[in-house]
Amino acid sequence: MIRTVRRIYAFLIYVFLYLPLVVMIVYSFNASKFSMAWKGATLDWYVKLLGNTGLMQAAWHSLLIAALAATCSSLLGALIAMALHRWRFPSRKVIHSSLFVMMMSPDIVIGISLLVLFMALSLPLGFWTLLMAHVTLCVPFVVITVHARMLGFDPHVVEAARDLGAGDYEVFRYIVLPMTFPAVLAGWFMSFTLSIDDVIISFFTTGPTFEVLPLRIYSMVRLGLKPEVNALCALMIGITAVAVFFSQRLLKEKP
Amino acid sequence: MNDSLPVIQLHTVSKVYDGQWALRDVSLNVRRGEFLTILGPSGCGKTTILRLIAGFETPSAGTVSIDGHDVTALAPEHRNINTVFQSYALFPHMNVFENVAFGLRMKQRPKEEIRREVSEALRMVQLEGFENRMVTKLSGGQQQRVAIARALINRPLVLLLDEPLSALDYRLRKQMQLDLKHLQRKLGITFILVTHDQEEAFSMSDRVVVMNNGQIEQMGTPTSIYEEPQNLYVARFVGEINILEAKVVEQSEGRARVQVQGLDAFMRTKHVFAPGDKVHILLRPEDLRVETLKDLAEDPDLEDTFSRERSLTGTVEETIYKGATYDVAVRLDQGTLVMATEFFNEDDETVYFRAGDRVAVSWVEGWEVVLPYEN
Repeated sequence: MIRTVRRIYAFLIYVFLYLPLVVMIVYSFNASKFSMAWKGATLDWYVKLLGNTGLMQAAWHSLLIAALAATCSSLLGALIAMALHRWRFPSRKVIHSSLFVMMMSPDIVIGISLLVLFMALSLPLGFWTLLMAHVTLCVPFVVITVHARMLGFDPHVVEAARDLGAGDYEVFRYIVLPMTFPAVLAGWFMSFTLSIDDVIISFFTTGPTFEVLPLRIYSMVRLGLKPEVNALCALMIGITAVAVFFSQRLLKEKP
Repeated sequence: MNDSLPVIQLHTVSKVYDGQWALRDVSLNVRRGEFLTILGPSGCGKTTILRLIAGFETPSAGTVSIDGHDVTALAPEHRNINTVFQSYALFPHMNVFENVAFGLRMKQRPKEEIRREVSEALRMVQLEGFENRMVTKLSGGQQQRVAIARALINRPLVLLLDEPLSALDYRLRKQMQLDLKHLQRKLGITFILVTHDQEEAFSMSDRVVVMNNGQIEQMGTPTSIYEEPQNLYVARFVGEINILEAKVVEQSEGRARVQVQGLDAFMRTKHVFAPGDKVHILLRPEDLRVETLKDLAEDPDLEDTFSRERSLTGTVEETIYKGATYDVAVRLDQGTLVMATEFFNEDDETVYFRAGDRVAVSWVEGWEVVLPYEN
């Protein structure tokens, strides 16, 4: 009895969380263009989507920025995590807590402050400013993930490697890198998803020369919901789900 | 290579951490091929000694030499010494083979040789066939063996063992003690073990170094440490001991006449005292013989074997069953409580003494240790 109640409860939670997504995915196959009524299944919207160059270009920009931002912030974040882990320097605590401040800050604050910064430096808004903004957004998440994994290591492992004849390079190459790599990769996927669905920060930090998908969709939706957008979002959900799946699997792997 | 040259020499080594002395003026020579144990409570500096020898720390003062060469500033990867860590510190992302092969790979030995050496090392620690297991999937005892194989495959001049058995359960620990001892005999490699367990230290080592507060209290064979402790700290740290306060009456060659708990008797000592000096008399519980006054009065044979004239009288307070033996707590007439360990009578399995029994406690002359008075 209690089991049944529990199952129903869990089911309701999943419905609450995922029903909107399911509805959207279902409607991306709906033949009706304007009404919400079901007029039979079709792949038309997916075909139309491919023909919509503006939308496709925005999607490509988004993927490019997400991949670049994820890569840059993974490298940067991993190095910061290593520094935090290995050395006890004076500003260590400040850096560590400022990462949390960054993670907690509302996107709109980060977005506006970056905009002000870019304007003060008179940088033209576009690809580079957007990339920098997204790296800023993602780095704290990578640092926290990688640092947490490093804290789980036996501190004597590095000593053991040196004891067995490994110099600085060998310790990094054969011990530190392979042991932290899953966390770095997980950080990469996390950054990728953060970047690809960011609207607010992108809104403030990119210009008309470089349009990304969420902004494009936002402007399209203001003129009415188009079924191509449903199709596109369904694809994005797929990509995000894959990224989340991999990052979770990598994090679960035992150090 | 000179065999009489100590394989490790610490010369007046000190180490300061955050203004605290971890080691103070320690000098230590380790002989080639010996099994040396550094024994002491946690925080006494024993692990610091190991880390200085391995090269993970540099001394604040003094020098460390390996095989006659000063290595004080030499990095660990350039020392021909390997360590078995307390936590084993196996590489979690590698399997057993890769862990054990690591040292030889760093030396860029040919693949074929590495394969051969690894399987030999694994056979030595009875882990044949475990090559492809992930180390995270092994039991504590197996991980321990991998750690030992990984260190010994490099044929180090000295193997350092930092409390390697503390995480194992009692039976496994006993087994590993024997295995380690056999391995050391077979390979002839110098082992330096750090432990806080005196039983472990005594059963495995050729020599024991007892440490306290960053200093060496005593160095010697397990027997000499146990039977002739040089101070109260060592006496108390290794095994149970009764400590009685006494006063020297007169001193002659190798003996002193002392008054202890109302008894006036000669005791053997290496120390020289002046009449009137206060001293401590140390007696191991197993060296004490206890008989009831009633038996002594009734049985003249007992009176002969029991030296009544150098005995202390008292009252039994309680007996404590220990399995193979039992302890008798005797309150001496002068007020001090002493413990005596007795074996069960062959044909009587019951404890002989009862609380309240009037007894005499005695020991063979020379089994006592007389030490200068310490506060």
